Order: sequence, then C-alpha cells, then structure tokens
Amino acid sequence: MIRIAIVDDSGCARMFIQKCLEIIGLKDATFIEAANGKEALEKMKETPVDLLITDLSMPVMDGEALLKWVKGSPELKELPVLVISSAGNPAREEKLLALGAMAVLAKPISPVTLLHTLEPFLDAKEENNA
Amino acid sequence: MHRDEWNRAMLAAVAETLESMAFMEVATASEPAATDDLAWASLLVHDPTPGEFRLVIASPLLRAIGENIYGPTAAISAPQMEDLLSELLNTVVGRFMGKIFPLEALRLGIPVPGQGPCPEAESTALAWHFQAEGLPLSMVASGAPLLLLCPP
Repeated sequence: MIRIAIVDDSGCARMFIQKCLEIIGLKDATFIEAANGKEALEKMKETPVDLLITDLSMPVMDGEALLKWVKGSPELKELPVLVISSAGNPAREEKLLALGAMAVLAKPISPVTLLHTLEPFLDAKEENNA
Repeated sequence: MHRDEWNRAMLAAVAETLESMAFMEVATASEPAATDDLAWASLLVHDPTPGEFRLVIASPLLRAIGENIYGPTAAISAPQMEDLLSELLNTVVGRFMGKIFPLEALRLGIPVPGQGPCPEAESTALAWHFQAEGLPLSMVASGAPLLLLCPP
C-alpha cells in the first residue's frame, strides 16, 4: 500500500489534493496530512512515506525548507517530492527542480496533470511490487 | 502591459481555478454582486511589486464550491469555509501573477478572511466581475505600485 504525505497549511487544499489522488486510482493509499514542514518531518519519522506532496508557502517551515531538509537527509533523500503551489513560476520551478523536486505543479492541479506527473513514480512502484 | 492583457489574465486565473476545483464554468459580468450575502478575503502581494487583491464572492457560491470539494453531504464548518475562501484567493492571485510576471519571483502574504460588510473599493482600484452557477464573484486589485504597471 502506498503512503503519501500531503503538506499544506490549508485543510481544503489537502482535501482537494487527496481527492485528485483518489480519482487517479490511489483510493487505497494511506494519507498523512501535515500543516507545515516541521509537522510533516515529525509525522514521517513515525510513519515513513513513499511520496511527499508539499505546498511552498506555509508558516513554521515552508515547502522549500522541507525539500532541502529531505534531500539533505541520508534517510529521506530518495523520497520523491512533488511541489504544488500557487507561488510558482519558471524561475522558482528551476530552483526547486535543482534542489531535487521531482516536479513542480501550479495550483489548482487537475487529476489529469497529477496522473501524468506521477506516472513514472506509480509505474516504478508497481514494478517493485510485482 | 495593457489593461486588456490583465483582463484576460484575470479571467483565465478565475476560470482555471473554479473549473479545476469545483468543475464550474465562469463567465464575465458587467456589474458587481447585487447581494449582501457575501464573503470576502484580502491578500497582500509583496513581490515582484506591492499590491493587494480582494476576492468578493456570494456566500451560496462559496458553499457550492465547498460541497464540490468536501462532498455534497458534508457539514462544512465556518473555519473550513474561511479556509476555502483563502485558498481560492491564494490560487487565483498566484495564477494571475504568474501570467502577468512569469519570470519574476512571487511572494504572497497570508490571505485574511474579511469580517463584516465588505468595504468599498478605492476609486483607483481595478475590479473584475464574474459569475458562476448564476452567482457573482469579483476580484479587486489595489495599491499604487501594482496599478501603475497597468495603464488603461
């Protein structure tokens, strides 16, 4: 079973992302929600996840700091990180990709975009489980 | 950049947001909301140029969007409605600014849900009026540094 962390300070945004993930076939996934990067790191320590989806603008610890932390951690550096934000643009996207994000999507996402972006991750997961 | 480009960018930002989040079609309207049953929120933009945006939306339309996200039978609390209002504003402004300033760093403040009646817009403010499901919503932009970039 796939475990996915969804990190956004808006509960509505977390709900919307989860709904999109369910539409693309991840209904059985376990979703771990956090309202900021610090809370996400604490929760992921207790429950390791297969995919991290994060917003950028959040209080306490923002998405860019979370991405840097994850990619700098020997235990977490292989974790795929998808950034979904309303504050993205090509310049920021380039920086986030250089930091190790698998992709950067602008809010609001659609199930089609999400499926297209996550296809390589889902295929790899399926191969590992076969 | 001319006013027409801002108008197109705002229509696209609002339409993309409502279509994706709530599967609702958006049309432009010539008049602001003619109802008192309104919810509103404001958001400061810090970079690339200072300004403020306000979203004013008919409360029944906000509830309908909430039902699309939380489910038609969900009991949506007042804090959830405020969260939804903030997320809508944040998303629309992010998309709009991304279209107007595609290559510059964008830094947004935290959306602040409005309390009480929505204040009158400044006379210099720019306003865009829309409707979805037959219900009104408006976006208002204010702040001299931002508006100076959009001559008529």
